[in-house]
Parts: sequence; structure tokens; C-alpha cells
Amino acid sequence: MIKTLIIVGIIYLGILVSFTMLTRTREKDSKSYFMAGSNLGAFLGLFTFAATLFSTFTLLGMPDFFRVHGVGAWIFLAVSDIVMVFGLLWVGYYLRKKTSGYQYLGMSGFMERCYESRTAGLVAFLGAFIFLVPYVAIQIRGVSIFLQEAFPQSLPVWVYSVCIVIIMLIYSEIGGLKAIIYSDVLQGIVLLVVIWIIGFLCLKDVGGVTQMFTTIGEQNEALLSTPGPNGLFNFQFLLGSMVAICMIPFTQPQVSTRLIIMKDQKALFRTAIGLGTFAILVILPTVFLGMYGAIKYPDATTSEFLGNTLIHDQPGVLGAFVIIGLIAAAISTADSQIFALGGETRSLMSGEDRTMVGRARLSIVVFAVLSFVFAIMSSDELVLLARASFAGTSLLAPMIFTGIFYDQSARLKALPILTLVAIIILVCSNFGLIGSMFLGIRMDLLLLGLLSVIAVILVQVDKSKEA
Amino acid sequence: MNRKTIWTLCRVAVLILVILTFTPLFTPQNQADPFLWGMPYTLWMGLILSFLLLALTVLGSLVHPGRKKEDN
Repeated sequence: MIKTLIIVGIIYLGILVSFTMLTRTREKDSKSYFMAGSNLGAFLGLFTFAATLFSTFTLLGMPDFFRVHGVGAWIFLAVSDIVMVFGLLWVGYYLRKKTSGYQYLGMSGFMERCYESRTAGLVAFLGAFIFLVPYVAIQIRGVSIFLQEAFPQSLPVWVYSVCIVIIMLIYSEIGGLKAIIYSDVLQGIVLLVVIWIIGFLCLKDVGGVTQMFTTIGEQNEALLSTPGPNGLFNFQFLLGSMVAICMIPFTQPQVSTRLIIMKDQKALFRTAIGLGTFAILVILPTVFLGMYGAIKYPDATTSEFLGNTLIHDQPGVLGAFVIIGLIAAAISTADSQIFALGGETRSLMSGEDRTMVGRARLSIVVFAVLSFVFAIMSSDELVLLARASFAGTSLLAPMIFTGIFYDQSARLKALPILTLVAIIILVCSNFGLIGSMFLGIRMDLLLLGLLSVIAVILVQVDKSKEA
Repeated sequence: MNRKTIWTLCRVAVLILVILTFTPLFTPQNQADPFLWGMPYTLWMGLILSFLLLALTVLGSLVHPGRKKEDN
């Protein structure tokens, strides 16, 4: 396998270098560097959305989620993702309309403009920063612990993490968003092909769909329904997850940037349809992987299960592709997020464009280093950490939606401040400083609900004053 | 039926499906039966739900008010 891994790795790196060189521009202005020229067609759009959304979390986290918590994971992610795609179609149109004729560089700058308030921009930035850095970190950590499991006695986790961060930084710093988008196409295809091959082999190994679920029914029947063996997939968890996931295109800057830079509405619509199809295609084989794990490795740790299922139980050549596919998946998501944070930084700065781009590029390095540190410290609960990230950024949704839909949002200065308070409360809750439930309701769901109600009240009060 | 009405119907249909997702129709507690194509109830209903939502997305993209404006 090592020989194949080296060959495949060199080919992969060679393609990445080629993309970087092809997309490299001497003049690095904000529009070309951070927004890739704002002329994205449906094909590139689909794969860059897909590679950004479906990542280590999908390839490593979801099989483990199915293995431990059962088939309800399909509702948790696949159904939520397709509802999100419909939201992309619905609200995405209005976001693009609102930003047309304005040089959009990031949601933070856009919020600053909508609310005519520096605070609003800073709150949008802070929300993205606090909850995206851990999300980037889990991509890096996920692959690093997987590599260590695949090659025990080789390198420590932090060395793998450093290598991933360096590769990611080199090509995104040189080529900008365009290089990331082109590499996303490669990474999206690799992810889809690899996961289907392994999914098919695992399914075959356990005797097909019927036999697989019959065996699981005999071993652990609770995996075949909600809320699952540990009771995770209850109403509140599923609802909170769906709401948080649906907000991603508007609250996570790496996705909203892609929405804005689509060439036209038709390209966005085609991308949305493709993305929904991709979601089903990429999540379905993770069911097979998870159920295979539930049969063969019911009591194994996450890394043991993943190492065995994805590498040791597969033919050597395939194992090499899995490793490259995983690295590709992690890099494609992590670089987009880190880069988007750079874009958010740029959107808050004013001054000579070239200088500001330079500073924003420097901030990308800082964010990458912070993510690396977090990756070393974070836990192995990939999906739950990702969910915490989705839930955290979703708190920005009431402020962002009000900015998009209400033309007089500049008069609602209290909303950004209340959003900040909600973010602080959720962070305290995540760190265990205060409870995760209040009056029997999950804290993330409660805060989002309260912010949404407050936003509606503020708009109505403002409208009545005007009348 | 004009495009605007169909678009409204698409949105209403998605909303109804989302609400139904959290009811025993799609996510019954601790119930794996009946099986279809070898799959437990929640999974095959989840798959059907996903395809329905995707079909509504396709339809929605064809009748979305933004598409008409761009065509014009």
C-alpha cells in the first residue's frame, strides 16, 4: 500500500500544484483573490459547494454516527441538507439581490453596511471566528488521528496536522479562492468515488442490504430506529440540527461567499439541484460503512473502527486512495473556511486594496495556526463538534436575515448586541459554565428561537413607528 | 396555474414535509417495521422524504420568480 500511496500522493500534489499555478495571478486585488472574479458557473459551483460542505465530518464522522446512533443519522444530515438546499434556492436569491451592485467581500462587511454599525460587522465576524475555528480544527484532527491509526508507530498526530496546515496554506495563499475552487472539483470527485467503492465493498462483505439490517436487528435493534441506542436523535436534537444546518449557506462565510460569486441565478439553481443530489449520493454509502461497523466493530473506539473499516479491511491499493481522499476532503473544507475568515477580515477593513489584501492574507496564516492549536487540543467527537459549530453560527441567522429582508435594518441597533449576548451564552454553555438545557429546551435552540422572536418584534415595532 | 402559485405551493409542500419529519410518520420511536427493500422504516421513509424534497427543489428552481426575471 505504501508504494501506491506515494504514487497517488504525488499525483494528487502534482494536480494541486498545477491548479495553483494555473490560477495564480500577479495582481491580487480583493475581487480576484477573495471572490474568484465572481463568475462561477454551475459545474464549478456544485463541486466547490460540495467539497466545502462534505468533508472529514462526512467521510469519518457520519459512518461512526450511524454505527453508534443508528439510522436516525439519515434524518439528522441527509434530510437536513436537502432542506438546506431548498433554502439556498429560496433565500439565496434575496441575498444575491440585496448584494448586487455592492462589492461584497464577506458577511461581516455586509452586516456592517446593512446595520450601518461597526458592532454588527464585528459580531458577524466574531460569531464566524468562534465557531469556525473549531470546525476547521476537527477536519485537521479527524484526518490526523486517522493517519496515526492507519500507520501506528509512525508520526505523532501533531506532525500530520502541521503537514495538512502547510499544504492548505501554500496553495490557498498563492492561488486564492480560484485555486481552492479548482482543487475542490478534484477533491469532491475523489471523495465521492472513494466513499462509494468502500461503501459497496462493505455492503458486499455483510451480505447486502437485507442481510445487513437483519444482522443488526439481531445484535442491536435500537440502531434501526430513532432515537437510537443512546437516545440522541430525539425531537429537539433533530429539529435543532435541521435549523442549524439550513442556516449554513447564510451564516457560514465559506458557503455564503460561494453563493454570492455564482455567475447568475440559473447557475445557482443548477448548483442547488446538483448539491441536493450530491448530498444523497455522498451520505448513502456512509450508512453502509456505519452498519458494517455496527456488525463488525460494535465496541471499538472511533479510530479503531475507522482504521479497520477504511484501511485494514480494504485492498491495499484502495486504502491508499482512501487516505488521499480523506486528506483531500479535510483540506478542501478546512482551506475554504480559513480562507473565508480571511475574506471576513478583509470585508471589515477599509483602505488601499492591495495593502488590505496583504493584511487579510496574513490573517489567514493566523487563523490556520489557531486551528492547528485547537486541533491538537480538541476531542474526537467529530460530528458533535461540527454540530456545535453549525448551531453556533446559526445564532447569526436572525441578524443576517433581518439585514437581507428588512431595508431599514440600520434602525435596529439592538439586534447585533443581542446576538453577541446569545453567542456568549452559548459559548459558556458549550464550556459547561452554564447548563446546556433551560426549561427543558436545548440552549442552542432556545437562543435561536428567542433571537428570531426578538428580530420579528423589533421589525414590527419599527414598522409601526414609521407608520 | 402560474409560476408564482406553483412556487408558493413548493414552499408550502417543503414546510409540510419538514413538519412531518418530526412526527411518527417519518420518525416513529423505537419502531423498525415495516421493512422495505431490506431497510428499516425510518431509513426508507427518510430516503423517500429526501427524494421528495429534491424533486420540490427541482420544481422550485424551474418556477422561481428569479428565473423569470433573468429570462426577461
